[in-house]
Amino acid sequence: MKEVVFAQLMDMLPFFFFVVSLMILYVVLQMLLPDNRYLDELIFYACLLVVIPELIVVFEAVVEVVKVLTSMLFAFIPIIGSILLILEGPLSFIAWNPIVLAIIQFLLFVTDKLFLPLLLIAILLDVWSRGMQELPLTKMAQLIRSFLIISTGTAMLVLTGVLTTAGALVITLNDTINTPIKKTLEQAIPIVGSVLVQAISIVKKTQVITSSFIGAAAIIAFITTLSVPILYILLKALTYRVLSSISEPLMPTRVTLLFEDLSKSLFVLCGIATIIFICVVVVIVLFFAMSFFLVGRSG
Amino acid sequence: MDQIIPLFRRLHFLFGQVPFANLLLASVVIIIVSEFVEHLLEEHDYETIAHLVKLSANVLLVSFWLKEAMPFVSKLQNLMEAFEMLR
Repeated sequence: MKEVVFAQLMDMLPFFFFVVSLMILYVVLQMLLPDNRYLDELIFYACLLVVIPELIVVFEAVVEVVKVLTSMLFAFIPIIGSILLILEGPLSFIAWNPIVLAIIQFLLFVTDKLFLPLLLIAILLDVWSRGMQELPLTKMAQLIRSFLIISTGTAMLVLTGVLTTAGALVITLNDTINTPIKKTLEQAIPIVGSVLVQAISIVKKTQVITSSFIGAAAIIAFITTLSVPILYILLKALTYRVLSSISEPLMPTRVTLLFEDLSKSLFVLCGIATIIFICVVVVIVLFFAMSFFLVGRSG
Repeated sequence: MDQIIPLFRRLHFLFGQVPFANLLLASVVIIIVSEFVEHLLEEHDYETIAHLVKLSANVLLVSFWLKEAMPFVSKLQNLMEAFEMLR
């Protein structure tokens, strides 16, 4: 686990170093060519070409995860459905509702077909409006982004509501200990902080009910492995934020604004990834719980 | 020129690892040389030829950067095909 996170961090360092060196190079070249409009254009496109592959990598990873999950869910649903029918009695006390599955499938479908393409369009609009400053489309990108933020928040609300009213997660924790941490997280991470906090509390509750039958080690391993992509995206978004703040005195304004927009978009992507993460955790926990009951019954 | 080329050699040595830094340096050299030639021609009242020099320098820059940008465009296209945005 430590190696994985450390490797992700090490992945980010060269990128950070490259952009900072480009800034230094720009400052040096500006002494040679003061107030040259070509130089501003060129440094903008150089930054763009450094940044875009990183974004494409993140997007490809998220798309792949969503594709795998949708196919996995399609495979799991007949099994889970039949087990639900067989095990009506023992499962009634945790009262897993079939509607949870339906909502998870719907959320994955919406993420695949609507959220991710819209986010890609928002990023393209950002790049367009920084490249062509005469024809800015920033309002449109902002509109798409705020729509995505609201939808991810709503999806999270729906998931929490369904999971708690279905009876699966009614066990309450003592929240007094982790409330300050939650508040800090909500304020520290700009856009998706509250979504992340919701996710953390859901996962924690799931952990409590499932650790009684699959063992704490297994579930902790699952959750940490699954949360690595989210941490990675979050790290990337924070790196962009830092880069935008570093570049403010050195670079042309459009580069700073580009980094800021991209970091906002990546925060939204982080929110979307969190929803996917919750879906996976719930399905895996459901499967484990069911297989536990099945094994317990036959043996 | 005697000072500029060693300077750019040193900058290349310093920033050679950074992607697109070499391209940026080459572009800056092209801009400096083209401006120099342009001023020289304008001084001697060859304004049309100066314009031509500027145009050719621009074409050179655009072709350099387009060549570097093409892989990303195709990657982006693949991504959009994954989203079924292109048909």
